[in-house]
Amino acid sequence: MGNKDASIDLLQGTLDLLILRVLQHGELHGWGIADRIRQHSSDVLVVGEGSLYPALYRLKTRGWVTSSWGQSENNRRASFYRLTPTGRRQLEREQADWERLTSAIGRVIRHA
Amino acid sequence: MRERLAALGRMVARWPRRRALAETAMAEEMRAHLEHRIQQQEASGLAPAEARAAALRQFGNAEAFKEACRDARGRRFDNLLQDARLGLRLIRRQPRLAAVTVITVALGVGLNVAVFSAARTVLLDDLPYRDADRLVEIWQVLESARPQQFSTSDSEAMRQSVPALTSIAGVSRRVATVRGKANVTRASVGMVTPDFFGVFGVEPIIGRTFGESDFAPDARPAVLAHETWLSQFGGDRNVLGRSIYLDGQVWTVVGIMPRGFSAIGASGAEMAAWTPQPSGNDRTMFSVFARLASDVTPDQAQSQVDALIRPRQSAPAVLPGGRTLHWNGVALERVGESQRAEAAPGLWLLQSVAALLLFITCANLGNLFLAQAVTRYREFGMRAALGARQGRIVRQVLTEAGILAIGGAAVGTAFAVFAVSALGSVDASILPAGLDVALRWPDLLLALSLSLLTALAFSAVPAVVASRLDPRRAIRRTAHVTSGRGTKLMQTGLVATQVLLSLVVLIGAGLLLKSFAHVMAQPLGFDPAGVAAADLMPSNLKTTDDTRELTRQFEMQLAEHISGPVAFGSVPYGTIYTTAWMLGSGAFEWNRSLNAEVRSVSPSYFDVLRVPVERGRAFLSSDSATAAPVAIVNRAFVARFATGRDLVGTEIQTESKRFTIVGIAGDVRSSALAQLPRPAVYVSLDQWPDSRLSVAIRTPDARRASQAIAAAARAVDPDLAVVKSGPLGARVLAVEARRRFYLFALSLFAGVSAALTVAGIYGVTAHVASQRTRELGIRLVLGGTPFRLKGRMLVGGLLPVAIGLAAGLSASWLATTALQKNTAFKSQLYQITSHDPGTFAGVTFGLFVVAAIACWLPARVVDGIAPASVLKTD
Repeated sequence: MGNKDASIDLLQGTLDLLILRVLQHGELHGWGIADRIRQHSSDVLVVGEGSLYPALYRLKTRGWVTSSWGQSENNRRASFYRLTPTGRRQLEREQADWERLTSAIGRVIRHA
Repeated sequence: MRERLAALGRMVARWPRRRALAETAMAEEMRAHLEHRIQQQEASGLAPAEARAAALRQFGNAEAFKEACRDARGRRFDNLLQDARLGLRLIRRQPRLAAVTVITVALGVGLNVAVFSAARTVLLDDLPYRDADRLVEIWQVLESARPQQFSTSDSEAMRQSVPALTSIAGVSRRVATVRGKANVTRASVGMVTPDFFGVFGVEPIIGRTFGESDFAPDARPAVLAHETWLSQFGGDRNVLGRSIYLDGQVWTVVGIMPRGFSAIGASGAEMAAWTPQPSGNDRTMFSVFARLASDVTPDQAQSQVDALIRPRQSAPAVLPGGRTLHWNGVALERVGESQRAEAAPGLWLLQSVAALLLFITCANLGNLFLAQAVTRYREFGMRAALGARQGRIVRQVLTEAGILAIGGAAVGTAFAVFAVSALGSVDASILPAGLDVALRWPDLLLALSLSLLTALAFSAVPAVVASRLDPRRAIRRTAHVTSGRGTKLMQTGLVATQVLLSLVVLIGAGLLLKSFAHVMAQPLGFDPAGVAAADLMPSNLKTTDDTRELTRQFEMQLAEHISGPVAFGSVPYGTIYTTAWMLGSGAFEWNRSLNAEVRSVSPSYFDVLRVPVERGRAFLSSDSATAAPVAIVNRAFVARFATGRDLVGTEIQTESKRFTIVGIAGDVRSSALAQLPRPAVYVSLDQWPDSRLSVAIRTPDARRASQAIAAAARAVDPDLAVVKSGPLGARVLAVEARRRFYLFALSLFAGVSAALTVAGIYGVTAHVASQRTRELGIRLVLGGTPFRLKGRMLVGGLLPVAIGLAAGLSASWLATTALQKNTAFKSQLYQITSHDPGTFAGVTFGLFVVAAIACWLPARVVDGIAPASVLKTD
């Protein structure tokens, strides 16, 4: 239901990777995360609220991100998310997995 | 453990607040997000209102996101709460179903918990001594005789040269008249060696136990049992230094032992008080208690003691008459083991029956919930259609059942508290004396787990049935669905199971009831109605020669308080005394002697107790000490020893005295209804004075008689103990207390089982009838007569009953065969075998008839069906 905004359906699990990745340079609130992903993907990957927040809560339950309340740039109270040490390790792992996967897919596409 | 519980408690308590916070945070976060979106829209040039509308459109279904977020956050507890809410709603909507479930579970769990509480206390708990499992009692075994105690020198030898025992103590028991502040009674008093209390490792609750100076010849200290403290001094904490009279001698109270310390030893005799054992008397016999060394097994200790004592016992004991008793070794067992062994079969019996009852409960509720699940198919179907997964519906049914079962267990536990305190107060002697039975943590834990298991047992199948319902069919159809084949099979199975199990319990109870009827039908041989009796126990200082004076004075005193014929002597259900007799006038010969009871009685005895003197005459006041000794024998004596002679006029003698038989009296069951009358010889109290004496008075007011007897006793001798004072009929019943208890307990279990089962049969038939109204209507239209339809329903309802009865008969046969090994059950059977065909047939037939009625009642629904209206409704 919530994915109608996404221009490309994200692979299962890739959203987690993207969130962790955009958080690696510091804390961001939910809107900021979605915005960063959209910008960096040149508007190809649009993360809807329906996927974003459940994913954030999931990551929080797993202990990969934590959140604290802060002031957003439009002066609203917002929850800022940041990586935990385990989250950072998880990011490295997922990134390595992702690179292995994409290079493998790339090889198949080029040579098959 | 407690901290963890507390932490859990805090978590649960804080949980609603935490959830509320999380919800607000989530809402706020969503709102912030929306604001960002609106700003973005405005930035791209839309008017504020349009920007807002566009943002909202893009945002989509916020509630759905929230739901997804809640899922991601984890929400087990949420679901549980929701299930619980649904469960509570069910209770509101169907209070009768809820009430029936709670009561049924309460019965099943309550009875189990009550019995378990007793069994746990007796069989599992440690006795209230330090390291109770290292504490042993030692005695000698003589051929065909009761446990024999040890002499002072034997126990001294054990103390010195048995390495397996670290400490050793002896107690010798005497029965004494105990008089404190309150009343006079006869009780066991233990004379103990110095380290007696140390061996048990129990400290007094008030004062001290014995020190070295207490064993000096002129010291008179006494340690009291808890019971004595309560009964004699009313639990007064300033009891130290007060006086207590033991057989008229004054002793000083120095300590009070805690509750439960009074019952010790294989004899199980409860001690009222302890005094120091005076030294230098080797004729005293001791019960020996000892502590095992840490690495020693009871067997090793036993063989060490055996090896020590054996050489000291070369000569066999010689009884009067020259019979010898051979020494058969030494027995050693953990303290309390015999009491446990004795109580175990009864407790096992009760616990097994309680377990059967719990199974019946489960089967009964299983059917109830199954019917419930089928009638609730619309609700479940609706939930399934709205997206509830199968697991969710299963869980809902399980939670509902769990809530009701826990409620039932709570009610049942409250009931068990009463049952257990009642069990402690009835004098059925199925539990060892001195044990406090009360509900404790393990019992509550059992109640909780039983309730959850019960809930799982009775709701698992219905839950699966409910979750398998096809939502489309469930919503579309407004009329009845006929329950499926599987459901029907399940119902049949559950009803048959209930019938089977309750038939087993009913037959067990039936055997006891029939035995009890047989017992109560036995002729007593005397008439206890309207007779009050009491045992008069003079202190040990009195001799038998004082008896005549005692009875004379007592009768005089009694006459001042109450009128009515009074008799003295050996009243039935009192003390029994047996001696050796010889018929004929030659010299007394032991090898020609016969064993028979002696009943030394006053002349009025036969009148007061209405024991018929069938031939010859009763005693007269002229049969005095100086007159020619006369005797009356009973019919059992004649039957056993007369060999065709007429005994009236013949001589009969003991080792020391000759009597002439002047009459023959009817038989009396003098110790238990189930016991055949034994040969007995009545002698005149004046000619055979006996200090073991009872008084009986025929009066319409037995209650006042007890007071009169007490007053007379006080006036005659302050140290005259009055024991077992009350209506004579009560004594007869008291002896049957255990029998009555088992009968009551098994009848209770059987009654509950039968009630549940019959209710279950009724419920299933009624459910089937309600499901089949339409079908029955159609059949009526097609020409079926109401009578035939009812017949069909009756047969359909009775089919599972018949299956259950057939299986139940075989099961009962097996169960009663197995019960022949259970001494508690076997000892209750009287004049019937455990496979008594009458009981088997009668109980089976009775259950069948009741079941048939339970099927017929709901079948009458056919009469109320108007075929036309049934056809129109759909």
